[in-house]
Amino acid sequence: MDSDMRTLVITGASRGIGAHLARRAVEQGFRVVGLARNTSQEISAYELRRCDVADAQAVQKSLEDLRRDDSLYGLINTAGIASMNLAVMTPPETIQRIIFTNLIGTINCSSIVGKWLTKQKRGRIVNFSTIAVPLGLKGESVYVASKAGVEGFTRSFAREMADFNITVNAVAPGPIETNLIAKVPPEKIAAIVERQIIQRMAEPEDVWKVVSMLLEPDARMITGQIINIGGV
Amino acid sequence: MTKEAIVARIVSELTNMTNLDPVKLNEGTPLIGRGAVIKSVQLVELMLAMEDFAEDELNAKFDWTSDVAMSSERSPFRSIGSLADTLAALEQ
Repeated sequence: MDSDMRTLVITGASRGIGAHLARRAVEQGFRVVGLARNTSQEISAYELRRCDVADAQAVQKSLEDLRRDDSLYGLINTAGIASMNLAVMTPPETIQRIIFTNLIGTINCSSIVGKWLTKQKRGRIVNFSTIAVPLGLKGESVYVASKAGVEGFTRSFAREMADFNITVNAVAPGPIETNLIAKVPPEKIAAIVERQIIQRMAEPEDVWKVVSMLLEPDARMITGQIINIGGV
Repeated sequence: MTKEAIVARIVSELTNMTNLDPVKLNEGTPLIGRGAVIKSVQLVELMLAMEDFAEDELNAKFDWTSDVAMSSERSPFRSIGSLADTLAALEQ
Protein backbone atom coordinates (compact mmCIF):
# COMPACT_ATOMS: atom_id res chain seq x y z
CA MET A 1 0.00 0.00 0.00
CA ASP A 2 1.13 3.54 -0.78
CA SER A 3 2.52 5.10 2.40
CA ASP A 4 0.30 8.13 1.82
CA MET A 5 -2.76 5.99 1.21
CA ARG A 6 -5.65 7.01 3.43
CA THR A 7 -8.47 4.60 4.22
CA LEU A 8 -12.09 5.71 4.35
CA VAL A 9 -14.93 3.64 5.73
CA ILE A 10 -18.19 4.39 3.93
CA THR A 11 -21.45 2.89 5.14
CA GLY A 12 -24.32 2.34 2.75
CA ALA A 13 -21.72 2.04 0.00
CA SER A 14 -23.57 -0.41 -2.24
CA ARG A 15 -25.86 2.14 -3.87
CA GLY A 16 -27.12 5.71 -4.03
CA ILE A 17 -25.10 8.53 -2.52
CA GLY A 18 -22.85 6.11 -0.64
CA ALA A 19 -21.81 4.33 -3.83
CA HIS A 20 -21.18 7.64 -5.59
CA LEU A 21 -19.03 8.93 -2.73
CA ALA A 22 -17.11 5.64 -2.63
CA ARG A 23 -16.35 5.79 -6.37
CA ARG A 24 -15.27 9.44 -6.19
CA ALA A 25 -13.13 8.81 -3.10
CA VAL A 26 -11.31 6.00 -4.91
CA GLU A 27 -10.73 8.34 -7.87
CA GLN A 28 -9.19 10.82 -5.45
CA GLY A 29 -6.73 8.20 -4.17
CA PHE A 30 -8.47 6.94 -1.07
CA ARG A 31 -8.70 3.27 -0.22
CA VAL A 32 -12.39 2.68 0.48
CA VAL A 33 -13.83 0.00 2.72
CA GLY A 34 -17.56 -0.01 2.13
CA LEU A 35 -20.20 -1.48 4.41
CA ALA A 36 -23.62 -2.54 3.17
CA ARG A 37 -26.40 -4.94 4.09
CA ASN A 38 -26.59 -6.11 0.52
CA THR A 39 -23.30 -6.90 -1.16
CA SER A 40 -24.56 -8.75 -4.19
CA GLN A 41 -23.64 -5.89 -6.54
CA GLU A 42 -20.60 -6.19 -8.80
CA ILE A 43 -18.28 -3.47 -7.53
CA SER A 44 -14.62 -3.64 -8.43
CA ALA A 45 -13.46 -0.12 -7.52
CA TYR A 46 -13.60 -0.69 -3.79
CA GLU A 47 -14.06 -3.39 -1.20
CA LEU A 48 -17.61 -3.99 0.00
CA ARG A 49 -18.22 -5.84 3.25
CA ARG A 50 -21.60 -7.19 4.30
CA CYS A 51 -22.71 -5.64 7.57
CA ASP A 52 -25.80 -4.21 9.26
CA VAL A 53 -24.66 -0.96 10.91
CA ALA A 54 -27.43 -1.28 13.50
CA ASP A 55 -25.51 -4.21 14.97
CA ALA A 56 -22.49 -2.85 16.86
CA GLN A 57 -20.84 -6.25 17.19
CA ALA A 58 -21.17 -6.84 13.46
CA VAL A 59 -19.59 -3.44 12.73
CA GLN A 60 -16.71 -4.17 15.08
CA LYS A 61 -16.15 -7.58 13.49
CA SER A 62 -16.38 -6.26 9.93
CA LEU A 63 -13.79 -3.54 10.53
CA GLU A 64 -11.53 -5.28 13.07
CA ASP A 65 -8.57 -5.29 10.66
CA LEU A 66 -8.61 -1.47 10.66
CA ARG A 67 -8.24 -1.22 14.45
CA ARG A 68 -4.46 -0.92 14.22
CA ASP A 69 -4.24 0.32 10.65
CA ASP A 70 -2.31 3.59 10.50
CA SER A 71 -3.91 4.46 7.17
CA LEU A 72 -7.37 4.79 8.74
CA TYR A 73 -8.43 8.36 8.02
CA GLY A 74 -12.16 8.76 8.15
CA LEU A 75 -15.73 7.55 8.17
CA ILE A 76 -18.69 8.57 6.05
CA ASN A 77 -22.03 7.43 7.45
CA THR A 78 -24.43 7.35 4.52
CA ALA A 79 -26.33 4.18 5.46
CA GLY A 80 -29.93 5.13 5.87
CA ILE A 81 -33.49 4.06 5.24
CA ALA A 82 -36.70 6.03 4.96
CA SER A 83 -40.40 5.33 5.12
CA MET A 84 -42.42 8.28 3.92
CA ASN A 85 -45.60 7.88 5.90
CA LEU A 86 -47.57 9.51 8.67
CA ALA A 87 -46.22 8.41 12.04
CA VAL A 88 -49.65 7.13 13.08
CA MET A 89 -49.63 4.84 10.05
CA THR A 90 -46.10 3.57 10.47
CA PRO A 91 -45.75 0.07 11.96
CA PRO A 92 -43.70 -0.06 15.18
CA GLU A 93 -41.23 -2.45 13.52
CA THR A 94 -40.62 0.07 10.75
CA ILE A 95 -40.13 2.88 13.27
CA GLN A 96 -37.51 0.81 15.08
CA ARG A 97 -35.78 -0.15 11.85
CA ILE A 98 -35.48 3.50 10.79
CA ILE A 99 -34.16 4.64 14.17
CA PHE A 100 -31.76 1.71 14.45
CA THR A 101 -30.27 2.07 10.98
CA ASN A 102 -30.15 5.85 10.73
CA LEU A 103 -29.35 6.90 14.29
CA ILE A 104 -27.98 3.89 16.15
CA GLY A 105 -26.06 2.83 13.04
CA THR A 106 -24.39 6.22 12.82
CA ILE A 107 -23.54 6.14 16.53
CA ASN A 108 -22.22 2.56 16.32
CA CYS A 109 -19.89 3.26 13.40
CA SER A 110 -18.77 6.64 14.73
CA SER A 111 -17.97 5.22 18.16
CA ILE A 112 -16.03 2.26 16.82
CA VAL A 113 -14.12 4.01 14.04
CA GLY A 114 -13.79 7.19 16.12
CA LYS A 115 -12.15 5.22 18.90
CA TRP A 116 -9.55 3.87 16.50
CA LEU A 117 -9.02 7.28 14.89
CA THR A 118 -8.04 8.76 18.24
CA LYS A 119 -4.79 6.79 17.96
CA GLN A 120 -3.93 8.63 14.76
CA LYS A 121 -4.63 12.01 16.39
CA ARG A 122 -6.37 13.00 13.18
CA GLY A 123 -9.44 12.06 11.21
CA ARG A 124 -12.68 13.01 9.57
CA ILE A 125 -16.20 11.80 10.30
CA VAL A 126 -19.03 12.88 8.03
CA ASN A 127 -22.59 11.97 8.98
CA PHE A 128 -25.73 12.30 6.91
CA SER A 129 -28.85 14.20 7.85
CA THR A 130 -31.51 15.76 5.63
CA ILE A 131 -33.04 19.16 5.01
CA ALA A 132 -36.29 17.52 6.12
CA VAL A 133 -35.06 18.19 9.69
CA PRO A 134 -35.11 22.03 9.57
CA LEU A 135 -38.16 21.94 7.27
CA GLY A 136 -40.07 19.55 9.55
CA LEU A 137 -41.57 17.83 6.56
CA LYS A 138 -45.02 16.26 6.90
CA GLY A 139 -45.08 12.49 6.41
CA GLU A 140 -41.43 12.09 7.38
CA SER A 141 -41.61 12.50 11.14
CA VAL A 142 -39.91 9.21 12.05
CA TYR A 143 -37.20 9.73 9.44
CA VAL A 144 -36.80 13.34 10.62
CA ALA A 145 -36.59 12.19 14.24
CA SER A 146 -33.79 9.76 13.38
CA LYS A 147 -31.87 12.42 11.47
CA ALA A 148 -32.42 15.08 14.13
CA GLY A 149 -30.78 12.59 16.44
CA VAL A 150 -27.87 12.33 14.02
CA GLU A 151 -27.50 16.12 14.06
CA GLY A 152 -27.48 16.24 17.86
CA PHE A 153 -24.98 13.40 17.99
CA THR A 154 -22.79 15.18 15.42
CA ARG A 155 -22.60 18.38 17.50
CA SER A 156 -21.80 16.58 20.75
CA PHE A 157 -19.44 14.00 19.26
CA ALA A 158 -17.53 16.81 17.55
CA ARG A 159 -16.66 18.16 20.99
CA GLU A 160 -15.63 14.72 22.23
CA MET A 161 -13.31 14.19 19.26
CA ALA A 162 -11.86 17.70 19.07
CA ASP A 163 -8.96 16.95 21.43
CA PHE A 164 -7.84 14.26 18.98
CA ASN A 165 -7.90 16.56 15.92
CA ILE A 166 -10.86 14.63 14.54
CA THR A 167 -13.61 16.70 12.97
CA VAL A 168 -17.24 15.57 12.94
CA ASN A 169 -19.76 17.18 10.63
CA ALA A 170 -23.02 16.31 8.95
CA VAL A 171 -24.17 16.88 5.40
CA ALA A 172 -27.90 17.37 4.92
CA PRO A 173 -29.04 17.04 1.33
CA GLY A 174 -32.50 17.72 -0.02
CA PRO A 175 -34.08 15.31 -2.50
CA ILE A 176 -31.51 13.58 -4.71
CA GLU A 177 -32.32 11.06 -7.41
CA THR A 178 -31.65 7.81 -5.55
CA ASN A 179 -33.65 4.75 -4.47
CA LEU A 180 -34.37 6.48 -1.17
CA ILE A 181 -36.94 8.76 -2.80
CA ALA A 182 -37.95 6.46 -5.67
CA LYS A 183 -41.48 6.06 -4.31
CA VAL A 184 -42.03 9.72 -3.45
CA PRO A 185 -44.43 11.45 -5.87
CA PRO A 186 -42.68 13.99 -8.19
CA GLU A 187 -44.98 16.83 -7.07
CA LYS A 188 -43.95 16.28 -3.46
CA ILE A 189 -40.27 16.34 -4.45
CA ALA A 190 -40.84 19.58 -6.37
CA ALA A 191 -42.57 21.14 -3.34
CA ILE A 192 -39.58 20.31 -1.13
CA VAL A 193 -37.07 21.66 -3.66
CA GLU A 194 -39.06 24.90 -3.77
CA ARG A 195 -38.38 25.39 -0.07
CA GLN A 196 -34.60 25.24 -0.59
CA ILE A 197 -32.69 28.50 -1.04
CA ILE A 198 -31.36 27.12 -4.30
CA GLN A 199 -34.51 25.76 -5.90
CA ARG A 200 -32.86 23.04 -7.89
CA MET A 201 -32.58 19.34 -7.19
CA ALA A 202 -29.02 18.51 -6.17
CA GLU A 203 -27.04 15.68 -7.72
CA PRO A 204 -24.81 13.14 -5.99
CA GLU A 205 -21.79 15.06 -7.25
CA ASP A 206 -22.96 18.14 -5.30
CA VAL A 207 -22.83 16.01 -2.19
CA TRP A 208 -19.34 14.78 -3.04
CA LYS A 209 -18.11 18.38 -3.41
CA VAL A 210 -19.14 19.15 0.17
CA VAL A 211 -17.89 15.83 1.56
CA SER A 212 -14.53 16.11 -0.20
CA MET A 213 -14.11 19.60 1.22
CA LEU A 214 -14.73 18.27 4.73
CA LEU A 215 -12.23 15.45 4.14
CA GLU A 216 -9.44 17.88 3.27
CA PRO A 217 -6.66 18.09 5.88
CA ASP A 218 -7.02 21.88 5.60
CA ALA A 219 -10.61 21.63 6.89
CA ARG A 220 -9.29 21.06 10.41
CA MET A 221 -11.28 23.95 11.89
CA ILE A 222 -14.65 22.90 10.50
CA THR A 223 -16.45 20.73 13.02
CA GLY A 224 -19.83 20.24 14.64
CA GLN A 225 -21.54 21.74 11.61
CA ILE A 226 -24.63 20.67 9.72
CA ILE A 227 -24.31 21.70 6.07
CA ASN A 228 -27.67 21.86 4.30
CA ILE A 229 -27.07 21.33 0.59
CA GLY A 230 -29.10 23.83 -1.37
CA GLY A 231 -29.71 25.83 1.79
CA VAL A 232 -32.82 26.21 3.93
CA MET B 1 2.30 -11.61 33.98
CA THR B 2 2.15 -10.45 37.61
CA LYS B 3 -0.16 -7.69 38.78
CA GLU B 4 2.90 -5.67 39.81
CA ALA B 5 4.25 -5.86 36.25
CA ILE B 6 0.92 -4.72 34.84
CA VAL B 7 0.76 -1.84 37.33
CA ALA B 8 4.24 -0.82 36.22
CA ARG B 9 3.09 -0.93 32.61
CA ILE B 10 0.07 1.26 33.35
CA VAL B 11 2.23 3.75 35.24
CA SER B 12 4.66 3.80 32.32
CA GLU B 13 1.85 4.53 29.85
CA LEU B 14 0.47 7.27 32.08
CA THR B 15 3.81 9.01 32.48
CA ASN B 16 4.42 8.78 28.73
CA MET B 17 1.17 10.57 27.92
CA THR B 18 1.17 13.06 30.80
CA ASN B 19 3.67 14.90 32.99
CA LEU B 20 2.59 12.97 36.08
CA ASP B 21 5.31 12.00 38.53
CA PRO B 22 5.56 8.16 38.50
CA VAL B 23 6.53 8.19 42.16
CA LYS B 24 3.07 9.52 43.01
CA LEU B 25 1.25 6.85 41.00
CA ASN B 26 0.29 3.59 42.69
CA GLU B 27 -2.45 0.95 42.76
CA GLY B 28 -4.76 3.29 44.65
CA THR B 29 -4.47 6.16 42.18
CA PRO B 30 -8.00 6.90 40.85
CA LEU B 31 -8.47 7.07 37.08
CA ILE B 32 -12.08 8.27 37.13
CA GLY B 33 -14.28 10.20 39.51
CA ARG B 34 -13.11 12.22 42.50
CA GLY B 35 -9.35 12.61 42.60
CA ALA B 36 -8.82 11.28 39.07
CA VAL B 37 -5.33 12.13 37.86
CA ILE B 38 -6.20 12.14 34.15
CA LYS B 39 -8.84 13.71 31.93
CA SER B 40 -11.36 11.66 29.95
CA VAL B 41 -9.32 12.19 26.79
CA GLN B 42 -6.27 10.66 28.43
CA LEU B 43 -8.38 7.82 29.79
CA VAL B 44 -9.34 6.96 26.20
CA GLU B 45 -5.66 7.02 25.21
CA LEU B 46 -4.78 4.79 28.15
CA MET B 47 -7.53 2.30 27.32
CA LEU B 48 -6.44 2.11 23.68
CA ALA B 49 -2.89 1.41 24.84
CA MET B 50 -4.15 -1.25 27.26
CA GLU B 51 -6.24 -2.83 24.50
CA ASP B 52 -3.08 -3.29 22.42
CA PHE B 53 -1.11 -4.41 25.48
CA ALA B 54 -3.72 -7.08 26.28
CA GLU B 55 -3.68 -8.37 22.73
CA ASP B 56 0.10 -8.33 22.28
CA GLU B 57 1.33 -9.42 25.69
CA LEU B 58 -1.56 -11.16 27.43
CA ASN B 59 -3.00 -12.76 24.31
CA ALA B 60 -6.41 -11.57 25.43
CA LYS B 61 -9.15 -9.19 24.34
CA PHE B 62 -9.83 -6.21 26.60
CA ASP B 63 -13.35 -4.91 25.99
CA TRP B 64 -13.26 -1.57 27.79
CA THR B 65 -16.58 -0.38 26.41
CA SER B 66 -18.68 -3.10 28.03
CA ASP B 67 -21.48 -2.31 30.51
CA VAL B 68 -19.28 -3.54 33.34
CA ALA B 69 -16.51 -1.17 32.33
CA MET B 70 -18.95 1.73 32.40
CA SER B 71 -20.32 0.88 35.85
CA SER B 72 -18.91 3.33 38.40
CA GLU B 73 -18.97 0.74 41.18
CA ARG B 74 -17.36 -2.16 39.33
CA SER B 75 -15.50 -0.29 36.64
CA PRO B 76 -11.91 -1.36 36.00
CA PHE B 77 -11.17 2.35 35.52
CA ARG B 78 -11.67 3.09 39.23
CA SER B 79 -7.96 2.97 39.92
CA ILE B 80 -4.67 1.77 38.55
CA GLY B 81 -5.03 -1.30 40.79
CA SER B 82 -8.52 -2.21 39.57
CA LEU B 83 -7.40 -1.82 35.97
CA ALA B 84 -4.41 -4.08 36.64
CA ASP B 85 -6.70 -6.65 38.29
CA THR B 86 -8.96 -6.66 35.26
CA LEU B 87 -6.09 -7.10 32.85
CA ALA B 88 -4.46 -9.80 34.98
CA ALA B 89 -7.75 -11.73 35.05
CA LEU B 90 -7.90 -11.69 31.24
CA GLU B 91 -4.70 -13.70 31.01
CA GLN B 92 -6.11 -16.63 33.02
